[in-house]
Amino acid sequence: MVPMSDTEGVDRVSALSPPVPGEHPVHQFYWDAVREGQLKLLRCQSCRHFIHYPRPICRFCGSVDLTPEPISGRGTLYSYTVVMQPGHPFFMDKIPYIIGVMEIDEEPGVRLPGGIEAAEDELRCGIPLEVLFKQVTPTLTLPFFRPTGRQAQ
Amino acid sequence: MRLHERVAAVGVGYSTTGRRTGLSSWQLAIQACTAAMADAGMTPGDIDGVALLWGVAGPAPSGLDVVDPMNLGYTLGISPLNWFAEPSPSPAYVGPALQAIAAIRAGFAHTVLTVRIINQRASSREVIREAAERGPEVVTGDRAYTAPYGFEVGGMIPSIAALPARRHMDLYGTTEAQFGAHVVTQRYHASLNEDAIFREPITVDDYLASRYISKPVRLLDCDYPVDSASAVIYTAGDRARDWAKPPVWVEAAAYSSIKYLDFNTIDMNESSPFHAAKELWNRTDLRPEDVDCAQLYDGFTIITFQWLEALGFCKLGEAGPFVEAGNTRLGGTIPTNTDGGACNVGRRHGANFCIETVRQLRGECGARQVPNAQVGVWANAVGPFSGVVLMTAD
Ligand SMILES: [Zn+2]
Repeated sequence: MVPMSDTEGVDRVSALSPPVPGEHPVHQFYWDAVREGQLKLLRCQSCRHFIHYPRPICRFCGSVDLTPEPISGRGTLYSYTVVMQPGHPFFMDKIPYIIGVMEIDEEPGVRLPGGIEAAEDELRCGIPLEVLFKQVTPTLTLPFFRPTGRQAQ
Repeated sequence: MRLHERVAAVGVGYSTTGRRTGLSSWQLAIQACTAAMADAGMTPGDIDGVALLWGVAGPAPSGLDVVDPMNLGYTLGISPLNWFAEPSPSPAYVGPALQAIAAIRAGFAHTVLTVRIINQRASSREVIREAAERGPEVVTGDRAYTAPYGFEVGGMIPSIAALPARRHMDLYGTTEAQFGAHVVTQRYHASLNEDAIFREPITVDDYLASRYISKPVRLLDCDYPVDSASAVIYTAGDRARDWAKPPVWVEAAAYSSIKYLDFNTIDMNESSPFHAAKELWNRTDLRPEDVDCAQLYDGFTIITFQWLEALGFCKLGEAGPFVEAGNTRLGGTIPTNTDGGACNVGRRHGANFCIETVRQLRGECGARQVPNAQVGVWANAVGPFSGVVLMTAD
């Protein structure tokens, strides 16, 4: 499904921010860690599986003993796309932008969506990625992923 | 309670369909319902249940009037209702369809009117302007992991199809020209369907010249948003031959939810269509090679590819060459989306696939008729939730 017209000629709209993560009792630890420049995921203390997105119970063993633990921030590119048509005013002048999904090295099947910092031709499903923390607005920093071994821009 | 072993579809109908029809959701719903009742030769008194899904895909423009099953039944003169449902969240039309089939089999109702009503959402221009006027948006829960990056914001969802499409390309060597072959095939089918919106034949080059929305998804991979309502009437086996047209039987059906409602991180090959298809084949003696035509959700091209693979019409990863070789074209091994698909008839959110299956199995499809079609399958939605129905001619 795509909206009925493209966005040519849309009046310049001012949007200083993309949608921002709000407070939530189950998810708060993730965003608190991001603010400190860390990636943490909820991990079952009984069977050691990561549970992401965060939930109040481990679906593998039923334990409710789940604790945020730091992860390396390294993984592989599961897939990606170059977004060419914006759906939100903040992204009007950001297109084309790349978003994708990283499967974390710590556990197959655990995948984090995020922004991808790379040129399109550097990317292919399966390449190694690492996290970087990117200031998106003066009050919002988000984890992005980039091909490993590159210097920050 | 009296169980009904068999269920059949006995009436189908559409409303006026198009962009900016000026019709309200209620007007669309009534048009589709009266068309389906006329098709079956039924009056409201013959019906005792209503299941529907109303809505807009994407942010709702203000002032839309909600259609709910109780009110629709009452308005049509179906009262009291023995059963009503509005599944939500629902994998589009297949939700109310499967709830109706289940309710009849369980004996809650003998004849259920199912409806999918969509008023087209605001244009992207309006959505962006409204978002700008609303100011900063706060997102919580799972959506907080995607929306800040510009995943699926403002109803711009093609990225959810671009991710599996890209992975399909990188894993299996699927090409953009193969996606294009599907789009060209569907358009050819639409050229044979007088009710399709887009009927002009196109070529793979035309496809490759259309703009990207979220690479590799192009404009022509996306279904076409319209105002529309679609209705199908299901009835219990002992009443199935009482109506104007021959019944089309529900042979087997399956509903599936996998993981959670996130299209971005789900495994392309362990998604709900694969689970639903496996269950479907467990529930029937028919096999994929018995199927004469398939109507497989085409919200985006990759979704049809996934269903072709999930249902076993081709091997995993081989949908690209399978489509390119002409297998899904009329005359091929499994003619697919013979009405032209939602890309060409407009987004009826899955209902067109059921209605086309019914019409093919009745032999009503004229120039696009699959000769002697006896078995049809239709499927709706993808990723975390979906459903699939196998039908047979009387
Ligand atoms: Zn556990």
